[in-house]
Amino acid sequence: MADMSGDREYVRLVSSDGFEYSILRSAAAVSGTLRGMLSQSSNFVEAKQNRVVLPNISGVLLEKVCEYLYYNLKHQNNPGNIPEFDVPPEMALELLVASDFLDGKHC
Amino acid sequence: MSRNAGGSRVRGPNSALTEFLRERGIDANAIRHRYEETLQQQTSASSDTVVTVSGSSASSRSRSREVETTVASSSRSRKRSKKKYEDSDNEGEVLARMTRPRPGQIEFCAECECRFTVTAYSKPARDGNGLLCHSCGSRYAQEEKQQKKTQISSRKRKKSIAAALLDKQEFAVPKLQDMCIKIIANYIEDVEVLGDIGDFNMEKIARILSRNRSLRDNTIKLFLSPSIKRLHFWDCSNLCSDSLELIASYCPLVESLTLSMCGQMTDNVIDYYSTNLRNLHSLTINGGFLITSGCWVRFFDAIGSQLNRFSLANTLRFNTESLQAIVKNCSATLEELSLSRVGSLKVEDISLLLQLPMLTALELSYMREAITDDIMIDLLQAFGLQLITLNLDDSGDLTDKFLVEGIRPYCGRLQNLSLALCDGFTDIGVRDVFKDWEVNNGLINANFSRCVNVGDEGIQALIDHSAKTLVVLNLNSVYKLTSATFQLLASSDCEFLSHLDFGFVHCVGDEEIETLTERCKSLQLIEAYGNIRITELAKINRGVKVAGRQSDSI
Repeated sequence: MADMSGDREYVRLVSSDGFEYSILRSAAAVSGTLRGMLSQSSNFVEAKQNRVVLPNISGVLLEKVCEYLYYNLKHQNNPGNIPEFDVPPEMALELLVASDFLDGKHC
Repeated sequence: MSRNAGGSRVRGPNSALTEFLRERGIDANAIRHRYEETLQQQTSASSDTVVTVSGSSASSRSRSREVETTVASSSRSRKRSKKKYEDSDNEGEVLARMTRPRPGQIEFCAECECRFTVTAYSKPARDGNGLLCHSCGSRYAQEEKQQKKTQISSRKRKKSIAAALLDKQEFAVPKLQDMCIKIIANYIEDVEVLGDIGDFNMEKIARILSRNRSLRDNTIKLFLSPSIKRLHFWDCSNLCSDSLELIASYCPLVESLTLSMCGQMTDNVIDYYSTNLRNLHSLTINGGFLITSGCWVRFFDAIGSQLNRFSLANTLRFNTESLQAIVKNCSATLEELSLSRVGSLKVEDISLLLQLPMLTALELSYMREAITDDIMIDLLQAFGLQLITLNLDDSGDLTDKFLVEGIRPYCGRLQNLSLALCDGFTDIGVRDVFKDWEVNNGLINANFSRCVNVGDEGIQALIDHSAKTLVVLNLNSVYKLTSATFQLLASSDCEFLSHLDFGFVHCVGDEEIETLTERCKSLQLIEAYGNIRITELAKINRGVKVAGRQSDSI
């Protein structure tokens, strides 16, 4: 794997309760906020460490978020007949807040 | 088949088949002979057959050592049979059937060249030259299934694209926020508190609820909070008047309020608003037909002086007194007034509007009897110079006189003009407005939909005048237009044109729409309902949605 001083293929997202999720950089980039935080051209600590701490999102929620990021990445090119993304209703409100924070045109 | 040597005429008992063939004069030898003759003619013309034959016989010789001798000896007969297959395309159906090896015969697979027994289910080879053994055939069967699947799925995909186009939806992966909002909307009855999710999303949720018709008395509280400044509810049909009053109780600081389909609204609601909503400066009520005229008078007397924008639609209880109250109280502040389908107003009432000098946006739509040339010319004379938006949809009594004596001299600052359904205008009238209309810098929104008497001259003058500024152009049902107008539109460098509607304009075809999407860089949406000359072959740039094509199947 060609490693251009910090431009790793995988990045880490850390939830408020300490869970760490390793996801593809391209998946994280679906979220505008994350993309900005991890952008190599910024001087953010997150970008240097390839690690983003999200103290307002719990572990369970963050897992669902990662699931969505991959879902979006996978079906980006063929939005026609894609399977539905399952969201348990109890999570819907918090997920909405989280996705609002993570923003992005796509999130 | 045994034959009598020496040409003896003695014939023993024969099978029914032999008798049958002999009666019909069908002789296998004769047929074979005929084939060879025609084949020789063919092989002299095309060298391919020779190559194939020699190639296959060479490879099969190298392949199977056990049958080498058999192969070598029967290579000639195979050559013949191979030639028969190649020939079958050219000779026709009948011969193809006759050359096809019958079930039970042993043949060599056209792909892998292995020996196999022909059955009724043996598949023909890709190029038609022979049959495939079971394994090769089944491999292709898989591929054919896949092909069929992709065909069906691509058809489905086209359908969903077309359906999405009609709804003008974005064809993309659904956003997480949108999905969550959908779920919330479905479970809205169960959710107690929605928490802090931002004003913008609140509006989105309100919209979705309205679409689901789930905005009810027991759910409305979820959207009311003391800090809200803008509140838009598009479907209040399930809200009783007590719930509508709640809006003022819970959101006293609201500045802009839109309530559509609010049929259950009664006078007490409006009275309560007038006392409690101290910061209200913009009110839109659509469908509040129970509100009496007297109530409106009280309302304007109470807070008319802070109203900046007032929009009313679909009621018959708004009459002269109400309008007088507006004029009396709001003349200093009212900048935008919109009255649509307010059937009780007459021409004399409209003249009251002369006393609203601050107006920059005026809508008087769908009130045919009340709008005449003279009264509108008078109005424009009074405040036309500051008017930015003018909407007089369905004012069929207006004629060219209004255009030439009202709009042209006074509407220098006009940017949004909507004159849909005005069939009183002629081509010449529209042309006379826009030709060399120097006081005006260009329209941004122009709507001439269903102005059926307007044609090329008028619209071309409009294009010449406003091409550099036009963003939305609606020419629906202006059927007299010819393609010259659209060519002019394409060549006029309309860099901001993003929304174009030319439904039912018969002259527009594939060519025109292609040039338009090519030249107008900002185009996002084209509405092409009823344009029969636009087919699926039209090459549209990516990023431009074309809604309403006949070829988009649902």
